Amino acid sequence: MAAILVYSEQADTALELVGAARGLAPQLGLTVSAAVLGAEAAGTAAAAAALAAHGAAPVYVCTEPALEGLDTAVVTQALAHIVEQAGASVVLLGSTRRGRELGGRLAQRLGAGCVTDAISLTVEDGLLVAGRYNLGGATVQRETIATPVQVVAVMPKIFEAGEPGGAGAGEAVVAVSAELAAPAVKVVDRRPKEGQAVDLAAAARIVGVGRGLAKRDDLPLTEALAAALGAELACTKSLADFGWMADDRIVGLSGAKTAPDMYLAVGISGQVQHTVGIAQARIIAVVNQDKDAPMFALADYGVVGDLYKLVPALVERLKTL
Amino acid sequence: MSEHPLRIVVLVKQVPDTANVTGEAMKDDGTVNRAALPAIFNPEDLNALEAGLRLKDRHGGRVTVLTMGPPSAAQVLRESLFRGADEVVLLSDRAFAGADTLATSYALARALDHLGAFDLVLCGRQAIDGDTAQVGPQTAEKLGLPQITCVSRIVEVVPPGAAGGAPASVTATRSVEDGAETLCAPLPALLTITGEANEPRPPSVKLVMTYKHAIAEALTGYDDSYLDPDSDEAEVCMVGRDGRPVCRARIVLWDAAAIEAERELVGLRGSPTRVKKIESVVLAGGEARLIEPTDEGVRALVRELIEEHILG
Repeated sequence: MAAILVYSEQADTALELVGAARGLAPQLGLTVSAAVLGAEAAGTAAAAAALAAHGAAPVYVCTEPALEGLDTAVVTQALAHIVEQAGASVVLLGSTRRGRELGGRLAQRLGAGCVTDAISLTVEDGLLVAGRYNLGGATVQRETIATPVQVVAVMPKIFEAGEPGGAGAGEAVVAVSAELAAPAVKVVDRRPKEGQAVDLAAAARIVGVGRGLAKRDDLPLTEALAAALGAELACTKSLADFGWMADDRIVGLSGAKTAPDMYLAVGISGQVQHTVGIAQARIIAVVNQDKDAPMFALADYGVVGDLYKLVPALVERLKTL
Repeated sequence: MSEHPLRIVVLVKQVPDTANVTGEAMKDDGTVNRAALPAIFNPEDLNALEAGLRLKDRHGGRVTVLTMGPPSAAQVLRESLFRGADEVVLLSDRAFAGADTLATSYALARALDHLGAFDLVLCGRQAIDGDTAQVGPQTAEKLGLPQITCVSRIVEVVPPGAAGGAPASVTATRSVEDGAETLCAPLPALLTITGEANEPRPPSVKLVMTYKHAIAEALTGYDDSYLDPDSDEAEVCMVGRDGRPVCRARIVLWDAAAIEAERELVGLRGSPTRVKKIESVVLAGGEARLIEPTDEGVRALVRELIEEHILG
């Protein structure tokens, strides 16, 4: 029987994809398998065990030395090999930065169609349909893929990992040997993210900052507001592009999809690529100078005014609580 | 052996400006009227062009800009010339219309083959109309090139024939979800560039004066209905190799035959992804409660947030 093959270099995402695949498999008449790649035996074994426990059967494990560093071109070769061995007709990848470049290379190698950044997976008329935002988040486009193998990179945190178990839980782990060319791209330096990792998707309160903030030096103003509210600080893509804040602070199409109790938007105009990231917010409050800013259309509370006066006033008021 | 000038190809795309999708751009049925959105140079492709021009400034060489699109896409090539590109190529053919990322990367790879030897292919990380981030990696795989995606800084390029016999390479930094990495790839290589990488230069007044009259406008009567993904009718103004160029002089025009592309692999026919349905995204809040920008208003807002159990 043909299979859905799941792979992500991020362990959490791989488990989510197995959860998604288990939902789709009966409708597509496919089994659920997974791949784990890496040069290091202990780590890959643990990852394979977790995937198997969540219902992937079998889990293909490849630990060729060329996979050290997980160069995308080498991962592509290994996965193409496993796709053939597994008889996979659907490949689910995580739509991380590495996952998106892998999706492209793998699809090209397999002559397959590829959809990235999928936010939904459904089966209609026996076909897999992947939904993704298009035109900067203004529309959702639902696409099918007409090739024998379909490659879909799915956004992290869209699907639940699900409980351990499922058909064939804990079944076979298959060791795969493949002839892989050594990576052409060398890792010169790799450093983990500086500072504390922020998880905007899990934040209960968020203060989002946009281009209404005139300069980088004014950031402490909004940091004070976030601190007073016990909120995480977030931003639009523009501010990250300016280098004012790190990429993991972006909310929207190119960043986090959040679901806070409150999103306070400060100086954010409200372009769709930002607002798709706050669709699940319970309360949206907006501070903006421009009364015509699209952001106000989403607001539960709107204040039209100068953020340089309103933010300090808010901080003062919050301090009295 | 002396250092060779770099041969750089930049892949660019003309896109609808999705940053400001307003009410006027929405059709009655909730879909986006792409024709109502201004066509712009894809922002991160401008960063790729800038990266190429800076490498040329530093090492010498030649920057070729390549795009695929309808005749009107010549505008982004013109804007590339205004910024200092040496050579621009427009891939335009009715047969290319409706291409998804697989068909697009096939055509671009064919065109790169026809350009001859190159050291670096640069493109934007992703285009703001589809945000797929696929065409770079797919083109790299098609050509068997090493790639570095999402580049925030090009650290160093060692051109072919560098002193001391160092192998030709590019070193670049990028950020990924769990950190930052610096990677080194042998040349030729493909890089995708992010908006963080640089500040694109404005058009040079002198180059605008040089090229603005040297380049003709796209043929009138061009029908862009193929841009509607719902339409199977691929209506793009047909321009052959037969001496009826879209643009004179500096813009090289290639059709499918010119790059020896197989008809089955380009355009809609070469595109396995099919759009089944397009839904507009409607994000509507409740009726916003407007609060006065005064101290009294600020107090009222905080009170509301307490009542909503957000605070306190």
